[in-house]
Amino acid sequence: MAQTFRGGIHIDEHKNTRHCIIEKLPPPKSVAIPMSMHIGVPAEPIVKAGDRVDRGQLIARVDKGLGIPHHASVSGKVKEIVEKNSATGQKVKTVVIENDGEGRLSSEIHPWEKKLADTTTEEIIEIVRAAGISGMGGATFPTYAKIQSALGRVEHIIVNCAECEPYITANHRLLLENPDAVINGLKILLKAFSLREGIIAVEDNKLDAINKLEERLAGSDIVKVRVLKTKYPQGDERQLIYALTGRELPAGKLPADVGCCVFNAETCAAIFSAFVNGMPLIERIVTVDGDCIVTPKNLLVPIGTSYLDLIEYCGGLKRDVKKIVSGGPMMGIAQWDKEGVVTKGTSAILVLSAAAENRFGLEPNCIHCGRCVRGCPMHLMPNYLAQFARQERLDECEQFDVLSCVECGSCSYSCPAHVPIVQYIRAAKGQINDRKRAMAAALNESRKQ
Amino acid sequence: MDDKRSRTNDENNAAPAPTSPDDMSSGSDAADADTLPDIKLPDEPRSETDDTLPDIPMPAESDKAGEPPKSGESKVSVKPETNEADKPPKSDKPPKAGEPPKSDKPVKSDKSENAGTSDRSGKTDSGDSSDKSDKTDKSNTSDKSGKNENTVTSDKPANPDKPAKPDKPDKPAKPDKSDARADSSDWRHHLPPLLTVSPSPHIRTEDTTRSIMIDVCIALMPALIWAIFVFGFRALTLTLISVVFAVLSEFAYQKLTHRQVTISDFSAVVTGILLAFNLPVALPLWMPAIGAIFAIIVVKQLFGGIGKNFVNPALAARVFLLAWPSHMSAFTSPGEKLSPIAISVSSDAVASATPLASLKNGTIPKTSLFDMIIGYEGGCIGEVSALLLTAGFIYLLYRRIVTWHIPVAYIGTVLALTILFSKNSLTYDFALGEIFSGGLFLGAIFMATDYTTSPVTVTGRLIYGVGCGLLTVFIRYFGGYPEGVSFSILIMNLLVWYLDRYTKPLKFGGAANGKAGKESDGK
Repeated sequence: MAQTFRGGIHIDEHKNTRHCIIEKLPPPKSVAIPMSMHIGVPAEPIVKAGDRVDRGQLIARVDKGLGIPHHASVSGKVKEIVEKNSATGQKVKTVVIENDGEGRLSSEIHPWEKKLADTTTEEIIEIVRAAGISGMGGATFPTYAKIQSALGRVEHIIVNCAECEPYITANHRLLLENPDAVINGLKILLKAFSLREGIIAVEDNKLDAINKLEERLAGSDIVKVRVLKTKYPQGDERQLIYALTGRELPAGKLPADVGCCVFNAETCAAIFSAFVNGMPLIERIVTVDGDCIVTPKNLLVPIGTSYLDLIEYCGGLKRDVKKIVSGGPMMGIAQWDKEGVVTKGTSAILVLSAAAENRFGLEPNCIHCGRCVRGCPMHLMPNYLAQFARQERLDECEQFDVLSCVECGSCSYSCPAHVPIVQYIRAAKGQINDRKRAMAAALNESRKQ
Repeated sequence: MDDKRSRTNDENNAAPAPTSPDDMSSGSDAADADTLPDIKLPDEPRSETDDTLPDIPMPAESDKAGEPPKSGESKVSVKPETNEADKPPKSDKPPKAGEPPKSDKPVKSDKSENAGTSDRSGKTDSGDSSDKSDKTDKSNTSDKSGKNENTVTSDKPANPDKPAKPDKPDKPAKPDKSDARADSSDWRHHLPPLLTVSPSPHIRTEDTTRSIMIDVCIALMPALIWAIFVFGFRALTLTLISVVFAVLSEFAYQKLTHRQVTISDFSAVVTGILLAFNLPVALPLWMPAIGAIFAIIVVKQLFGGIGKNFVNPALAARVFLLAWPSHMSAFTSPGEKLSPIAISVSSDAVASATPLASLKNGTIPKTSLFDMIIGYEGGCIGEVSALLLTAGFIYLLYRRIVTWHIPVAYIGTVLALTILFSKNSLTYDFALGEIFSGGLFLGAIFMATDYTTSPVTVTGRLIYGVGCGLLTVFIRYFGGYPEGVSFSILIMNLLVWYLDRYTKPLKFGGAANGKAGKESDGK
């Protein structure tokens, strides 16, 4: 029985690559690994220009604070360590490695040899940390920290295979081609949390994956598959938790606060790989699609590969590009750098033309039709939020719960007048937070005196 | 390395699959929990020779010498014009003359960030400034790129097998895949000098204001055709005048005030049709004209245009036209054909011909219920046929233009009240007469559901519908006019903001004073 949540929209899925078997990208000539592709403190490189590195070798560490280490995704020589602008415009140190083509595996890599039953939670957390695993669905939160902070508070471990964004089929293919990795990754997590049952949640537009999973699980008591109605944004962890457990998670709170912990399917597979092969996170599945790509594919890509290499392998471009989006078209980030690279959180690269974007250039008036209200998964009134934000009426924005907005884009997508609702809401949130910070700073100042 | 790994994997294989008492394992489980089974991820390199470099030239090399020479290359003469013709007409950028990749040029990061992060100014700025900067770049670099242009783009028009038609719709199997691969090195000319960086979401629904308005027009067509059948072509004339004057006055206002002209969104057309539907067919032809001008300019544009009117423009205009009460109450009998083109007509029909007037006196009208439902009765030209208006309603529901709440709440309330407070001992005849005569169906389905002047929340819509129903019955029973629909909708229009404000939905996770929905048991 498919479960669901109130709100949300049905959008064209564009799952053009659902039948594309994951192909291994021919190793690129060089990779550029940014030191910060996760939430937290950027890692510090421990190699320098001219060093010879092996595949999987540790090249960057975080000694203090929240963060994960990074590893070389190809073997070769470190060409340089430069500061580059990230997708959001911040300066990030980047280790550029020239691939020597030998694919030498680092000697640091060895599989975990103890039985899972004998492995302690602390050991699991340390392995996950040392492998440099962060949330691979796009959130990029360090997984070890997520596990650590949720210990003892959680009843439900949920593997998120909803993949509600259009175009992306990375998780879908993973479930079809390597379901055991996901299942076993979940089991490792269950051991870490000392729980007996975990859930793999899949949307009902992936019936073949559901069947494959159920076949692999063969009536297991430990891992259950739950089918969810296909709707955007079912993959958002709040809507996921609600559909599976009926619990509402307010904005500003974490899933652990309602007894749940949600992991992306590929993150689970990466955890499994860290155990069974000792491999750190050095490559990931990326869906390359969009109406400009000649042959959309699912690719297994080393971290740090340039977008141009991906496009090249997919046959190149067939029409003029307007945007390159990292992630899905609803919540992904438009890239400025044509030579941007795949990071640990890149689930898809979409190359879109102006026609695919389908946007007006007018300054539109809201016609008060209410489609945004109907579609909002957080049950807000986006039409009013946009109007207040446009007029900088921040108090009314707060009254109408603008801070609960998760920026899923359902409102902007549904708006027939093409009001850029999410854009206005983001501006308002930014202004409100600035205001709060200014007030807190002023309060501290006055307290000191 | 490989030996070590394969040895370890063998060890894993050799480890016994235990039937352990550990809770984690289950006998029939395909992947045993106790030992980490030997399952390889698809990415496992099986040998060192796996990682060979590809023979496709990498983007850092700008020369195309590595490209296998194609048969067509020698035939080519560089024709930049051909390239321009090949560019997809759908692209919102001016056709580029095949510029080479800009990887060697410094990326203008501040420019694109300005383009992307304009927050308050709406997406006009981001769209426009990125376009402007594209244009500037193009004019700057077009001369410089002359030489490169020749080398890069000479491949493209040469290939006889693949005429470059970039705007071909997507096909699941590319028929000329091999050619696409051979051409792959020059796909870089499709990359713009600057990528557009604007906020998510990056896709939109196909529905637009215009498509919605056109759907409403379609829903009104059956009623219009019926009106011509019952009242003659004068009904069509009145409608056309109303529509034409509505569109012209919107155009004139927007032009004179130097605003964007938005007549292509068809909202003025809908207002024109709805206004005409509220008028009796004997009206002089200048009245729908001034009514339309009033509706569009005074009620809609002076308040800010579409989405900003505070009452329904068509209804407000109709009430405005009640300033000529004798014309507005000159209803004719059905089937009486008046001249379609005479400016003024005189009709010898009697005002009491409408069923609604009889009901006001508490008498069951002479028109049969069947005639009232299909619409063979006196009244305003668009309001008579409850049946065809309902057909329009079903179409609007199917197209998801309206939800059922307002019309059902409105008509349901009127039905309930007229049953409860029937003025005639034949309660059901009276009540059904009340709902099927007059402008109730037109008002409930098309006027009360107008987006701008109705609430956005479900609860709000239900309250609004009930409120309209209450007021309609009140005015019909106690007011001077036999018809209460126009006034009741106008009054409820004034309350829409308050209805929205006080039926604001509870935010997700907002129960229990904003604390998390349920405390976890494990805490």
